Amino acid sequence: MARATTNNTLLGKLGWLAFAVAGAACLGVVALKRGEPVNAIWLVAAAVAVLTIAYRFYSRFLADTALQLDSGRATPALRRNDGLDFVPTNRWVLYGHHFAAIAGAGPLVGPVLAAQMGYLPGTLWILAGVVFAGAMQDMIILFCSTRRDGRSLGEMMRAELGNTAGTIALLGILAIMIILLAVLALVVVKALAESPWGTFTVAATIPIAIFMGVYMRWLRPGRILEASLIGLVLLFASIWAGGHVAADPQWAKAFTLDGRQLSWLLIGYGFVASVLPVWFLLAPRDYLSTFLKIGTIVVLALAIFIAQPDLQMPAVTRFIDGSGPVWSGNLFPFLFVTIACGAVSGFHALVSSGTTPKMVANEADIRMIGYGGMLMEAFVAIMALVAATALQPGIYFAMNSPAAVLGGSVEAAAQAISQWGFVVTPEMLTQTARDIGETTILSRTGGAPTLAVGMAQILNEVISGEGMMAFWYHYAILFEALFILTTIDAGTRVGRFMIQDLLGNVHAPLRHTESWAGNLFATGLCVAGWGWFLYQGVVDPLGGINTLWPLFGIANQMLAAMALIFACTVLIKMKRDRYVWVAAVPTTWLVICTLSASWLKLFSENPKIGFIANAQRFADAAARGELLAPAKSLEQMQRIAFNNYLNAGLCTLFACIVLVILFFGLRAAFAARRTSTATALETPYVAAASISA
Amino acid sequence: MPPTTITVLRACWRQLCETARLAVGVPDYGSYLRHQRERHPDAEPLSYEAFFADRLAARYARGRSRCC
Repeated sequence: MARATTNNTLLGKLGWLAFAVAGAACLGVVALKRGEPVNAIWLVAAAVAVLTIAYRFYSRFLADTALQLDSGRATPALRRNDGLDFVPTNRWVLYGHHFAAIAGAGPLVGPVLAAQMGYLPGTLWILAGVVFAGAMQDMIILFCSTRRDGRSLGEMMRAELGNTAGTIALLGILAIMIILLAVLALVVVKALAESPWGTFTVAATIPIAIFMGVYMRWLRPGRILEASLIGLVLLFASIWAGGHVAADPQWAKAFTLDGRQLSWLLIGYGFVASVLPVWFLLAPRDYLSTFLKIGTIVVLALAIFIAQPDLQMPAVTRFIDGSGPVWSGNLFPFLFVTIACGAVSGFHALVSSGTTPKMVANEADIRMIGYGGMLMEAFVAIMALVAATALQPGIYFAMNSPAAVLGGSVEAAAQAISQWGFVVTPEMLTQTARDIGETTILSRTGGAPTLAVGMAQILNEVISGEGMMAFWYHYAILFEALFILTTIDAGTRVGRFMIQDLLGNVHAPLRHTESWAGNLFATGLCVAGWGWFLYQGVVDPLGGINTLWPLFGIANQMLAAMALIFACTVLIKMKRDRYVWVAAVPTTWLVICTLSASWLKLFSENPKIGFIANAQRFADAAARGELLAPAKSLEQMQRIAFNNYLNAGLCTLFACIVLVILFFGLRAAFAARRTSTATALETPYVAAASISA
Repeated sequence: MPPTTITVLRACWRQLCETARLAVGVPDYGSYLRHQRERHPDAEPLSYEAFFADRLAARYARGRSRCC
C-alpha cells in the first residue's frame, strides 16, 4: 500500500494537476489553432495526457469502486491451472498477448477515412470513445469472463440473458464476421489493384510462410524466433525484389491485376488457406504478421516523435456537412461508426472473453490488461490519424475519392479537388505517384494506400535516400495486407466453425469438424458469404468502401452495444445499481448511434446514403431501359439494385438484433431488481491464498 | 547476490521472448514443466516440440476470434 500513500501526498496531487494542465494546454492548441498547420506532437501529447489521466483516475474508479476487483479472489488461471490453457501469467506478458490479439486493421483504416472531416472530430471521438466506452467495455467483459471461468461472450449472454438472447447474439457475431472479412478483403484489393510491386510482395508472403511452416514443423520444430527472423529477412528481400518486378515490363504485366481478378484470387486463397492444416500456411503467416504489426507500431511511434510532421489537413473541413467524397453522411452518426475500432470495438468483447481471461493471474491485473490494452489501441488510431492528416489534403482527397468524382486524369482530379478548396496541381499528383513507385495515386481508396503514403512520408523523414520513399510505401502496404490476410484466413476458419455449429442444429453430421464434407461445405458457405460482399464492393459505383465501411462500422458498434447491454445487466444482477451508469451511458450512446445510422442507411432519400433509395434509383432506371454507371447491361443494373436491397436487409438485421438484445437485457435487469440478493452467475468464491502457486 | 546489469538484461530478454511467444499463442514451456512436476509427477510431460504442436492446434481450434 506504500504506493497508494505516495500518490495521495500533496506532491503527488500537484504533479497530476500540472500534468492535467499541460495536457489541457496541448488539447487547446490542437482544438483552437486555426489557419496554420499544427505540429503533430501537440496532438500526440494531448492524446497521451488524456489517456494517462483516464487510466490513473477513471480506470481506478472502475477497478476499485464500480467493479470492485478483488485480488484475494482466485482467478480461473489459479483454480484450473493446467499449464496449457489456464496459466497464471505475468501481467506485462499478458498485456502483450492481449494487445497483439486486439490490434488489427480496424484502428488503422477507420481514422484515415474519418480524416475527410479534419483531424479534430476524429481525435475527439477516439479519445472520448475509448475512455468512456471502448476501454471500459474491454475491461468489464474481461472482468465478467474472468469471474466465469473464461467463458465466451456468447456463452455468458446465454447464461445471464437466456437461451434465445444467446443464439441471437451468435447469429449477430457470424453476420459481423462476414462483413468484417468482406470489408478487410476489399481494403487489400483496393491497395493491390493495378500495383505490380504491391501484388508481388504480398504474393511472396505465401511461399515465405510455407517455408516457415515447413521449417517449424520438420527442420527445427518449434523454433519460432529463428523461423520468424528468416521470414522477416525474406519479406524485406521481397519488397526489394518487388521494385525490380515493377520496373520490368514483362514481370510487371504478370503482376498487374484489376480489382475483379484480385477479388477472385483472394476468395480462392481464403478458401484454400483455411482448409489446409494450420501449421502449413495459416500459423506461420500469423507469426510474421503479429511480429511485423507490433514492430511497425513501435517504429511508427518513434518516427512520429523524430519527424514531428505538421498536420496539413484543417482541424475541421467543410465535409462535416455530409457531402464528403470519401464516405457520405453527416458527422452524427456516421463519424461514430466510421471510427469503430480505436474508439470502441465490439470485436474486443470476443477477445476479452477468449484466451486472455484464462491467463489472468490476479483480478487486479484486469485494469491494466483490459483498460490499458485498449488505450494502447486508441493510441495506434491516433497515429494513423496523424499519418493521414500529415498528408497534403489535396493528395488525401485524390487518393480517397471515387473515380466517378475525380474523372480519369490527373488534370481533371486536380481541378475537382481545387474546387473543394484544397490546393493540388497535376504535377504534385504525378510526382507523388512516382515517388512511391506506383503509376497513379488517384482513387486508391480503402485507407491502406493513404496510410502507407502518410507512413512513408514520416519514415522517409527519419531514414531517407534514393528510392526510400517507394520502399517505405510498399513496406507499409505489405504490413497492412499481411495481417489483413491473416485475419481473412483465420476468420474464415472461425466462421466455418460457427456455420458448422449452427448447421449442426439442422443436420447433426455437419457439426463434425473433422469430416471433410462438413469442412468444405461450411468453408465454402463462409467464403461465399464474404466473397459476395467483396465482389459487390469491387464493382460498386462509389468504390465499395463508401458502401461497406459504414455497414461494417454499424455491425461492430452493434456488437459493442450487445456486450455493453450484457455488462449493464450483470452490474444490476450484482446489485451494483449505483454504478450501472458506467456501462449504461456508453450503451445508450452506442444504441443511439447504431440505430440512427441504420435508419439513415435504410431510409435516407439521398441515394449516396440510403440503400433503398439507391436500389430504387437503379431499379427505376432499369425499368425505363436506361443504364447508370458503372453498369454496362440491364442485368448488372438489376444486380446493383439487388445488392442494395441485400445491404438494406443486413442493416435491418443488425438493428433488430440490437433491439432484441436490449429487450432481453432489460427483462433480465428488471427481474434482478425484484430480488433482494445478487443473482449474477459467477463461479463461487475461492480465496487465492488457499491455492498454492 | 545483488543484481548486475547482465542478470537484469537477461531477465528482460527472457520476459520479452515469453511475451513474443505468448503473442502467437505459445505459453511458457518452463511454467508448464513446473506445473507438471508439481501436480502430475507420475505423468511424462510433453516434449517442447509436442507442446508446441499442441498449442498450435489449440490456437486455431474452434471458437477463437480475432480482431478487426
